[in-house]
Amino acid sequence: MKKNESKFIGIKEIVAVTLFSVLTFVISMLTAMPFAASVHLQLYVGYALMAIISGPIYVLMISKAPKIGTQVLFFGLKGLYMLLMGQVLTGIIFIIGGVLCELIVMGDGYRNMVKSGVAYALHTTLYGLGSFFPVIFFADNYAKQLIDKGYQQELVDTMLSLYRSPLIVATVALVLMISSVIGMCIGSRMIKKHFQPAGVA
Amino acid sequence: MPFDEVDVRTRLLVMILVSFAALMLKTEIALLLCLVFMWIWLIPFGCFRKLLQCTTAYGILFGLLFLMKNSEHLGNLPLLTVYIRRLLLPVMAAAPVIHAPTGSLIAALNKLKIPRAATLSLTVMFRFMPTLAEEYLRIRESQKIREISIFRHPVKTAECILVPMLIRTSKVADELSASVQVRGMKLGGAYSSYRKSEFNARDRRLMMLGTITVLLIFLTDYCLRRG
Amino acid sequence: MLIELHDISYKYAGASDKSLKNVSFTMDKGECILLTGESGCGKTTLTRIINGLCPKFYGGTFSGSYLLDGKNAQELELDEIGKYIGNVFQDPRSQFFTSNVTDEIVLAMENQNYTRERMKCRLYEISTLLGIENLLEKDLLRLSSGEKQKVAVAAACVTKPKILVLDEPSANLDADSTRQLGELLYRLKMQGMTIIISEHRLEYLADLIDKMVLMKNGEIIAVYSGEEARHLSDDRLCEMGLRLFYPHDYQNISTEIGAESFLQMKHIVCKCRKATILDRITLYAAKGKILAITGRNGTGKTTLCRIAAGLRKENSGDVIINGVHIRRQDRLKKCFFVGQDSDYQLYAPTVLDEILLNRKKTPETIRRAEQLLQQLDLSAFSERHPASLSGGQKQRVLLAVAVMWERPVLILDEPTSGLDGRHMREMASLLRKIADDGMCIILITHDAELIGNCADAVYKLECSCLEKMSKEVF
Repeated sequence: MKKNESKFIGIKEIVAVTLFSVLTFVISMLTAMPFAASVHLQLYVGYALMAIISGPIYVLMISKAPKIGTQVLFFGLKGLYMLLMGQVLTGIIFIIGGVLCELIVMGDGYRNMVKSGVAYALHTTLYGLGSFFPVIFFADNYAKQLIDKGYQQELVDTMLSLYRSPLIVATVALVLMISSVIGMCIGSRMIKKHFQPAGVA
Repeated sequence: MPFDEVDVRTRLLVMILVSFAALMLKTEIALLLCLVFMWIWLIPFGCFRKLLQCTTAYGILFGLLFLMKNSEHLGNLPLLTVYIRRLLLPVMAAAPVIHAPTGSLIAALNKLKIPRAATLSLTVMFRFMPTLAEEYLRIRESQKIREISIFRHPVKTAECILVPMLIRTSKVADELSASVQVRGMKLGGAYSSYRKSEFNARDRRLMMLGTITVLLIFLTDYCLRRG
Repeated sequence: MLIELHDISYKYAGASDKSLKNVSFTMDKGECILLTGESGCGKTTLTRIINGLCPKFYGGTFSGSYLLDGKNAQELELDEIGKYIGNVFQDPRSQFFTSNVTDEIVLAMENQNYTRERMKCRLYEISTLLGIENLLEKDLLRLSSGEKQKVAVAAACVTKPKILVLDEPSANLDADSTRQLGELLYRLKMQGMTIIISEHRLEYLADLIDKMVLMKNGEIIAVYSGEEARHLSDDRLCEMGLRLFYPHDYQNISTEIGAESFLQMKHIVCKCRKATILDRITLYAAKGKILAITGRNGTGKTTLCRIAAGLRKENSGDVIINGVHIRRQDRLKKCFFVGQDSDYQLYAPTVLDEILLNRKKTPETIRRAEQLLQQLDLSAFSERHPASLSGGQKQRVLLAVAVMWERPVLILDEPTSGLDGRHMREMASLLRKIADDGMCIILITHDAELIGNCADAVYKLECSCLEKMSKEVF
C-alpha cells in the first residue's frame, strides 16, 4: 500500500540534493586549484575536468530525486553561496539559472536523458562563466589595486582583457558544454556499472 | 565568550555587509580597514583559528603581489591573488554564523520567514561541509594502501574516489533524512523552537555599529580615491 | 498488545528475494525484546517495519497487517508513528542533524510543537535520567562514540515514546561504553519503556531481556523467554550462529609473544596539537602470531597501528621490521591496514574485481582469488557489487583483499564489529590459519570472543600507555 508519491521535493530529496550540490561545489574548487597559475589551463582544462567529474554526481542525484524542485535547489544553493559572499549579481544569475533548468526538465524531463543533459549543460556553463561576471562588472576595482602597487596599465589590461573577450567567453562556453555532455555519458555508464548494483540509485 | 548570546541575525547582517564591501571597495587601505574590523568582530566570538588562518593567508597574498611585480610571465596570478584576498573577508565574516549552534541558526532563519525547505537545506550544508573533507581524506588514505596512485592511474583514481564518495554520500543522505523524519520533521505543519531569536539592546547597538563602520570604510575609500 | 504484526512479508525495491517472509510478532507494554540471528536474517528490516521506514521511506512491497497500539500503522504517516516509537540507529555520524547536543535532543520536541517551558522541563528530566547533564551544549562531533550513543538515546526518548527501537546500537562502542548503554536501557525499562533491540552483541543484554526472537532467512524460527535465553548453553548458542551471553574470562592468554619478533615499535611518541596520544609505546609482534590490542575508545590504538602501517608519522620512536629500521614510506609496502569502515575501502564493481584491483589478472591470481572467496564463504557473491553486501560480508571481502596482497604484516581494525557469532568464529579460524602460514597479524578489537578464539597475546592501551594484559575480563 502506498500513498500517492508527491511530485515535489520532500525531506529525503532535499537532504540528498543539498549534499550532492555541496559535493559538486567542492569539486569545482578542487579542479580549479592546480591550474591557478595559468588562466588558459584553468579555463579549458580545469573547467572541463569539473564538468566531467560532476557529471556522475548529477546523474546519481536525478535518479535519486526526480522531483520538482531538484534543479532549483541544485543550482540555487550555489547562487545562495554567491549572494552570501557578496557576489550579488552572480548569485541572482545562478538562481534564475536554477529556475530555467527546472523548466527544462518539467514534465518527463527526468526520464528523458536529453532534457536532463541540457539542464546540466546549462547549469555547468553558467556556473563556469559565473567566475567571469565579477571580473567583467567590477574589473575597475581589481585593476586599481594592481595599478596602485605599480603594475603597468597595459599588463593589467591584458590580464583583464581575457575575460572581456567575446571569443574567449564563447570558447569557454563551448568547452563547458561539450564536457557536460561527456560528463553525463560517463555518469550514465557509472550508474549502470556501480550505483544500480550497489543499490543506491 | 562574550558574544555567545549575540543573535544570529546580527551576525548575518554583518556578514552580508562585509561581503558587499569586499566586492565594492576599491582601495587597498579600505580593504585593510575591513580586515581590522574583522579582527575586532571575530575576537569576542572566539573564532581565533579562523582569524589567524585568514590573516596569514591575507598577508602572504599581499606580499606575493609585491614580489610578482617585476616578472611578466606569471599570467593571471597577480589578479588571482587580489581576487582571493577579497574573498577572505566574507569567509571571516561568516565564521560567527557557522559557529553558532545549529538551533540558533534555524531559529534565526525561521524568524526571517525563510521557508522550511531552505532552512533544512542550509542546515544540512553547514553541518556536513566539515565531514565531507574528512570522508575524502579517509578514502584517499586507504587508496595509498592499495597503491592506487593519482599519477600512474589518474582515471582509475578518479573513479576510485568518486564511487565510494558518492555511495557514502547517498547512504548518509538516506540515513539522515530517515533519522529526522522518524523524529517528526515535516515540511509543512507546526513546529516550535527551543532557542530564542531575539534582539536585545546589545544586538541593536552592534547592528548600528556594524553598519556605521562599513559606511565609514566606504567613505574612507571614496575620499582616498578622490584625494 | 502494543505491537501486533501479522503475516508480514516485505521485499526491498529492486531486490530479488523477500527480506521478510510471513513474520508474525507481538509485543506487550514494558517488555524488552531482543531480535537476533545471523547477518542477513532480516532483523534490521523488521525494526524498519516497526518504525515505519519500510515501506514508507525505503519503498518496496509490503503485505500483512501491522497494528500499533490498536491503530493500523499503514494509515499513519512516518511522523505520526514517530510519536509512538523512538529510534536509535547504528551510525552516530549520520543520525545527527545538528552539531550541538542540546539542539539534537530537543529536535523531536520542536517537531511536535512543544512549548519552550515543556521542552526545558523534559530536557532536564531526560538528561538527569541518562546521566548526560555534563554533555549539554557540547559540540556533538567532539564526543566519543559512547557519549554520542547516549545522546542518541536521549534524543529518541525525549518525547516519551511508548516504544524504543534500537538497531545494533553497540556496533562502534568499546566494552565500557557498551556496559553503560546497558545500564541506560535498564533505567529506561524501569521507567516503563518498551524496548526492542536488534543486536549481535549479547553480553550487555543478558539481564535485561524478557524475550529473545531468533531469526533466519527472513523468518522467525524460535522465540525464547528471557530465562530460557539466559540458560542456553554456549554450544547451543554457537550452533545457532550467535555470540555468547557470558563470554569467558580468557585466562590462558600469555602476555609474551614468545617467538622472535618481526615487527618492533620502540618508544613511539605521537602528539596531536598539544595532547600526547601515545607516550613512549613499545610493542612487539611476531610472524605466525596474532597480537590483539585492546582498550577504551580514544586511547590511540588506531593511531598506533596507523603509524605501524605507514599512514601516519610518529613524533619520535623507531619502527623496525625484520631487524631493519623502516621509514614511513616503506612501511606502506610491508603492512596492509584494513580500516574499520568498509565503505571507504571498496572501489570495484564486483567482489572478484575488488580482490584483484590493481593486481595483474592472470589465471593464477584469479584462481587464488576464487579460493579465498571460498574460504571466506563469499563465492556466491563474486559477481555482486561490494557495496550491496551486508556489513559483515564487506569485512570478509576486505580480509580477502588483504590476504591477496601477501604483505608480511596484516593489521585489522575492528574486523568483527557487526559480525554475528558464526562469522566471527570463522574469521577467527581463518586468521589463525593465515597466521600459521607465516603472516604477522595485529588486531585492534573490543571483541572478547574474538580474542579468546584466536589471539596469542593481548596488549591493553590505557591513557596513552601500553599495558600487557594479565588475566582480565574485557
